[in-house]
Amino acid sequence: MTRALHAEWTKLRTVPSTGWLLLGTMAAKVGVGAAIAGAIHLPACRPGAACPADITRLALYGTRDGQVTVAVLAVLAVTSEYATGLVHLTLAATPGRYQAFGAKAAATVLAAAAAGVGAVTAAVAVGAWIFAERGYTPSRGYGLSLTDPATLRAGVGTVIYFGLVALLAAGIAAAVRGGAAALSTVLALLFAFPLAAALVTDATWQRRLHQWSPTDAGLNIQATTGLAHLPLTPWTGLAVLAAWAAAAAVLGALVFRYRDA
Amino acid sequence: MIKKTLSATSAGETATTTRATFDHVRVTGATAGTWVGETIGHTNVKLPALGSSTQAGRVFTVTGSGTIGSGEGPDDPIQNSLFGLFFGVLVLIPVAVLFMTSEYRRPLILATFGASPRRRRVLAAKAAVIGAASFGTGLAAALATYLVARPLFQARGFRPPAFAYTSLDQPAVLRAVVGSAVLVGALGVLSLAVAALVRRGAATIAIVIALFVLPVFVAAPLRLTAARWLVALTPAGGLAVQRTKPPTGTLAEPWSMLSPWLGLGVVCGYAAVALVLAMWRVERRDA
Repeated sequence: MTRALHAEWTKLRTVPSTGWLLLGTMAAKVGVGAAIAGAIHLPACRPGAACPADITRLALYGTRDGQVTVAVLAVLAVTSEYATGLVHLTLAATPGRYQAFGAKAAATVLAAAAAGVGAVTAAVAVGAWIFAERGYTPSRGYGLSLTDPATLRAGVGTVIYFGLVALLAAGIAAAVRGGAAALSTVLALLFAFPLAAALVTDATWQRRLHQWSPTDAGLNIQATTGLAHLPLTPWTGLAVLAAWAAAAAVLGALVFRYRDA
Repeated sequence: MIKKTLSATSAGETATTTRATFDHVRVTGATAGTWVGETIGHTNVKLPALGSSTQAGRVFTVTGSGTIGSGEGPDDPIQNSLFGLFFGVLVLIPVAVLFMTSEYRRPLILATFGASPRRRRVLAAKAAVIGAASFGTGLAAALATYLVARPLFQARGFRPPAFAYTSLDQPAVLRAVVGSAVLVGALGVLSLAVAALVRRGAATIAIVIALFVLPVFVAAPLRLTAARWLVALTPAGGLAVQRTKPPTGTLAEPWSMLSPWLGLGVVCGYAAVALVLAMWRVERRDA
């Protein structure tokens, strides 16, 4: 398994697009977070009362954008092997198909999580600076730091979120095999639920869609205020995304195992 | 009630009951007969009981749910019914992209350029085909949606006198239906042109989806002016063409703030610029 993992890591690391995509993930996440921090107008925070605005969540808001490049990375890691025929060589070297797929998925998840660590650290630092510059200071009840347990949970959760999106995308890509088809499926899965929820006016269904959606449920992990009003608790929400990712990974692994390469 | 909160990107409608008292109601001039009341508005079973009105002398008390007074409010049943095209576009984008990138994957493109060496003309022909096909599909879908959704909306209370009667021969309704088809056609051309520039299927889909879908999510927590700029500068604003009522900032959909023609113009501009760039590039780069 170590060898297979090493091989997959080498393949992923030495393709130029990987670096650009991981850089794009960080840029999208930090950029959107900074843009929102600079453009948003928060309500005044009364002394003594809990602040209504969740600046941790706002600083991490670029996750929705950053996940697109993570999905592209994971999809390409799987489907480019089929496009070039490299998959035959991979399977000759690692005949255990579950092993080969597991190693590839693990390498992709690791790369996505690494980009997530960089993105979260930078987004929190940039967000803290901009929010402080604009007057949302600790003395007024606003504060953004990874030493705060809730913010740390949001940050760690976001890193896991990126890893799970990579696993979801890798699983679907292994099941579908075509790059364009796989990426469309992944993006539809990530974005269709929140859009449908915005459209539905029935409060019960809206809540259900927020609970079922891999994106909306998973992003509950970023909330640090108003936890009682969330559709799901932070960790339960992340567990919903984990269930989607696990289902996709199992499907991908089964297709990879039983279908001719 | 439209909720625009920072912790959620959704908006929902919740019925609330309110009471209004009108005292010293006077009639000037000659009248005959007594006051006549009529209950208007929707009969959705999930909403609280419909309103009532009581009269005591010259004081009228009106209790109920909904809008009291003139004007329909910002809700637009045409816009709501046509929104489903958004999901159709998510399917169309990969089709338009693959129409271009699959030529590069199997080197069919060499045969194509061998058969017609004037490459700009090849690209123009491909753009015309995908544009016409997606426009036609979009038009059929928008028409069918309108015809199916209109009676459903009417049955659920979107009907006169609370909501104006709509018909395809009204300019705003026609603009929304045909404009939706133009939007779908322009997105098809945009996807094709970006595909000709980038050549990689997955990368192209990511770019087009990022331009069309992500602004909706990013706009949600922003101030209205910033959100308006964001949708006015990206193809996401094109959905404004589905609106038949004046622009408003009170709805969850950020493109509701744009005028229909501005939104459609932005998408067509994106498609035109991308196509020109692709034509310029395809001449100069090896296939």
